Amino acid sequence: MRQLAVTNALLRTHPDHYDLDDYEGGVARWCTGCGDNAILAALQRLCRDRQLPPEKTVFVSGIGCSSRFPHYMNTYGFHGLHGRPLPIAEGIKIRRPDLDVFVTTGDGDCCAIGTSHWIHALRYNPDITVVMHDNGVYGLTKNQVSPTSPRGLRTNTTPSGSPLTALNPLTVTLGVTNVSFVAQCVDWMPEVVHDIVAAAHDHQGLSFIRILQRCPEYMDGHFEPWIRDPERLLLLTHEDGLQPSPSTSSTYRNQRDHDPADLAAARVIAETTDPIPVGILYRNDDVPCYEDLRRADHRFDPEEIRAVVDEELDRFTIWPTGAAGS
Amino acid sequence: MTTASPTGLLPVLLAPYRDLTELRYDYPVVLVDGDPHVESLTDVTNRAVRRVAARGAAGESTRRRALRVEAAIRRRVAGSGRGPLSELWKLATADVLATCPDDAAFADQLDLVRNAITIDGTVLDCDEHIASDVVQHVWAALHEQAARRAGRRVDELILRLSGILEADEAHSPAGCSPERLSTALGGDHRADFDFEAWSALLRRRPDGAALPDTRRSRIRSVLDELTTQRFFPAQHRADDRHPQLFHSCVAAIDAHRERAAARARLVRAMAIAELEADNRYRETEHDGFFREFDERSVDGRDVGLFPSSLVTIGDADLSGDEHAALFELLGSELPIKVLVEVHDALGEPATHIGAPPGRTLASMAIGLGTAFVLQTASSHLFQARADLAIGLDAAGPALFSVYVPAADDESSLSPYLAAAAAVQSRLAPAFVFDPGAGTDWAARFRLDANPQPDDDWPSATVSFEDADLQHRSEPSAFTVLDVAALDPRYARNFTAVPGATSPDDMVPAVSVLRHGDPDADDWLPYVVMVSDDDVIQRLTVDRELLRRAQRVGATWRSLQELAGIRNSHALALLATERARWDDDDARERLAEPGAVDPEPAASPPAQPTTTIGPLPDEAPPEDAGPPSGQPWIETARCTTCDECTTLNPDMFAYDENKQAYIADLSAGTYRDMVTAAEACQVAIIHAGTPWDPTEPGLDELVARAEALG
Repeated sequence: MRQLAVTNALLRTHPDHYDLDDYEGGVARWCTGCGDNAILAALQRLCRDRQLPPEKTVFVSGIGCSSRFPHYMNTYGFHGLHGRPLPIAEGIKIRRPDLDVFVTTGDGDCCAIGTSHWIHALRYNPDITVVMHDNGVYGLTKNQVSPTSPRGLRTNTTPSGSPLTALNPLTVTLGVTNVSFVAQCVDWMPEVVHDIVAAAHDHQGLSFIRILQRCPEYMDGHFEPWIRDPERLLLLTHEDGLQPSPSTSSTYRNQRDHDPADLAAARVIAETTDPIPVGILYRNDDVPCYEDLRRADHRFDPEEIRAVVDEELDRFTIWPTGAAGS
Repeated sequence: MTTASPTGLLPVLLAPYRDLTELRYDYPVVLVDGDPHVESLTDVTNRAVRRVAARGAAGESTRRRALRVEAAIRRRVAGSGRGPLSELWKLATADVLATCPDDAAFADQLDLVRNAITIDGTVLDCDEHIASDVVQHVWAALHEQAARRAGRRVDELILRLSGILEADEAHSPAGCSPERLSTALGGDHRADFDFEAWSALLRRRPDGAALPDTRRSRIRSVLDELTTQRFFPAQHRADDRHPQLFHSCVAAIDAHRERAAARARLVRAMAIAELEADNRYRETEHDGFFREFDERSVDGRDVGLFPSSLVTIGDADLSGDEHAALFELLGSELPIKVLVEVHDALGEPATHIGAPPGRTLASMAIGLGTAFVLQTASSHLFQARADLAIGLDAAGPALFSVYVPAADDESSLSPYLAAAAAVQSRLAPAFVFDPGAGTDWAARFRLDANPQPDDDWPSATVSFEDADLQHRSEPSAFTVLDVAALDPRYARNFTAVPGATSPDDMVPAVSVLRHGDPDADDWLPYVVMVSDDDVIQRLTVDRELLRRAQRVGATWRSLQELAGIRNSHALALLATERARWDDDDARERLAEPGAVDPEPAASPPAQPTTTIGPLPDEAPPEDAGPPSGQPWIETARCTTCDECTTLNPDMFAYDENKQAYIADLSAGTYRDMVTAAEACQVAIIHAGTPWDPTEPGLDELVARAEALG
């Protein structure tokens, strides 16, 4: 809702200002060396840089290490059920489109138990930012195989090594109707993580970011070859996409110009796992958001809502003979 | 020669349009709900026929028969038969079918076309009421739309503020009482709950701060204002809005003045509500501002939130007070729209009387520079419908000056043709001045709705047979003299030239208007008319009328200049530049090859020989690090993993982006530094060389640091 000119003038005259520590919630209980810390720092920086009012920002999560996220943000949060953060976030966005809604989910939460919600959330395309922390293992429950675990990974549930090739969340996402924003990054490139979550937040629609994330407990050393050799990361750069700083470019010289509007090229890049592509694979600003398609022309008051619910319930009520409504 | 009587004579260019009911044109129009508000019957029929008639010859029969119904409607409406389209279509179909009662296929085809018409609304011809009917219809639609939009904003604010009070109430001791909890639950299951225990549990919850009394009282006061306002429709209240339709500018301004205080109170309440709903109201900063808030504090953009008022008034009613009030409101920011129906565009013939006041209103109003201004004639209202909607929807005031021939006009022309002739003759030129369209005249002012806007007078070719029965074609211009020839008040200004007489000194009047001196006596200007039986007749024009026509032409020229057509400043500049170019060209031609140029051409600007600062691609990388073996961290690459800060939180710290840097080297040892460098998963800590030569085990530590590279 557009505000009055006088309200805008007053808000400009006395603007609120938020520092990074205004977004810091409880002390993070992740393992030392966990990549989740870098993602937390990047999202807190984004909130500060965009000056998102904490009371107008919501982080929703499911279950898993990454889903501890809302506890560490001094914003509204919803630590939900396993695999269900997306429908909760969609409900929040439909009801309160004025809020900034983020979802933090893990590879198990999103790609296993939450798969159906993942697919349909992409198709509904609500204006939310989805950050998938992908460490390739169930860490919170002490080392079980996840859909994105590399083939051969020994875990408590795959003592002889995982027999399956890892699911590729990027190719799945890029295959869904109405997909509008897909990006990938790695947690050990903080500047790029920040830039990509910022681009995702600015996008109107569901932004899906897969962040490859280190787990020092159960996947220790898994990403070491990529950390030690910057040539094994492929930076996707474009004037409409990622534009790395000279400093980043001097370290990560393996770069490719990729137009995020090119879906076919994005799908080809998504198939690549080594070098790891980093950047914005796809963006389409023209896909409508579900909450815009279904926006009511006014906000319903409690009496109206109660009347509609009663009417619906009455349709299925079996009234005793002679009672009211029979 | 005899004195001409205009009755029965038509300007030659109007001769083909004597019977408009047989022509397809913009009228009649249909007033419909929703954008574009006004449709042409011709367009409605075309769309329906396109939907149902087969392409090519197969659909020709359906097309022809649908057009016969359309013509029948046109005839009915021309006879003051305005009414709903659905009803008129039914009556017109009956008219047409009566001519061929045995043709069943005919009726079926017309049913198909009828079913393909998806709109309905009142059908109107171009009569004396058309301007007020069309403007009121579009205004009412937009007005209601804006009012409902604003009403929803108010309702939403009421809902949000009520929610704050309800949440406060629910958290209060009274809200948590067993009695209140009991009433909140369905009746059939109350016995299953222990409301005392429930209440005790809720009271033990962490103490949520209750609303301060000042905030609660402020919200209640704002809610009072929002729920009693009379500017917008309210969701749960009978419609008691202020009336917004007036027939006097004075009355409209008075009403706005009377409502100004209430409007300011509502804006104040809405602003406070917006701040409160977003938890942004700060008493220390905002109390003082809102305490002093009154009519003068209301921002013009917020005035635009309020539905506009409409004034409809005739030019004859624009007396001194009304005229002053009109220009007062046009110079304000008030959302008041004014329709002035100009019934006399030509004015009285006496020379000492200038142009009639109604005709100059729009030209004067654009001088204010702030109001939307549209001038047109009733014949062109359909073409102007988009601009009409823009002006009615714009935030500030607007003037719509529409020439509508008076009902008692003694002219032999139909109202449509009389209005169209006024536009065609430049007497009532169509123009739009939209201050919201841009910052310069090129963006704000348009004349493109006029015929041949680049010319002084529009012209067309007339074909006729001469006295020898030979076919001839001649260009003929349409000027204000043609319109005057239709007005009985100007009969004495014309003299008929009998028979085929055509003295040598007779010239078309338009030639005099374009090039001549109207007071010169060396020729006889004339206009060409036709009689009822299509015989060409010339009428000479007297000097007095010629001078008047020249003044109309001069006004048109001024408008052309405003629209950038043959702008005199631009033409003068062009002439100067062309002369300069010609001079330069002549000098070059005179100069012999090899001759010394007296004024050597300026050399091209020298290229800069130095570059200030590094080129973008050569920018030094950040965190390049000290060169002298001092320990350092590539802060920009830090992943906030807590390794180093856990190891020694005094030596290592996070910056404002939560990325690590060396906060205090003296707070740790070289061993801490090397250990942190080894633990850093992204290898961004560089241990450097030891800074305390007395530290034990340095040889081993240096070897470990060197191993990190």
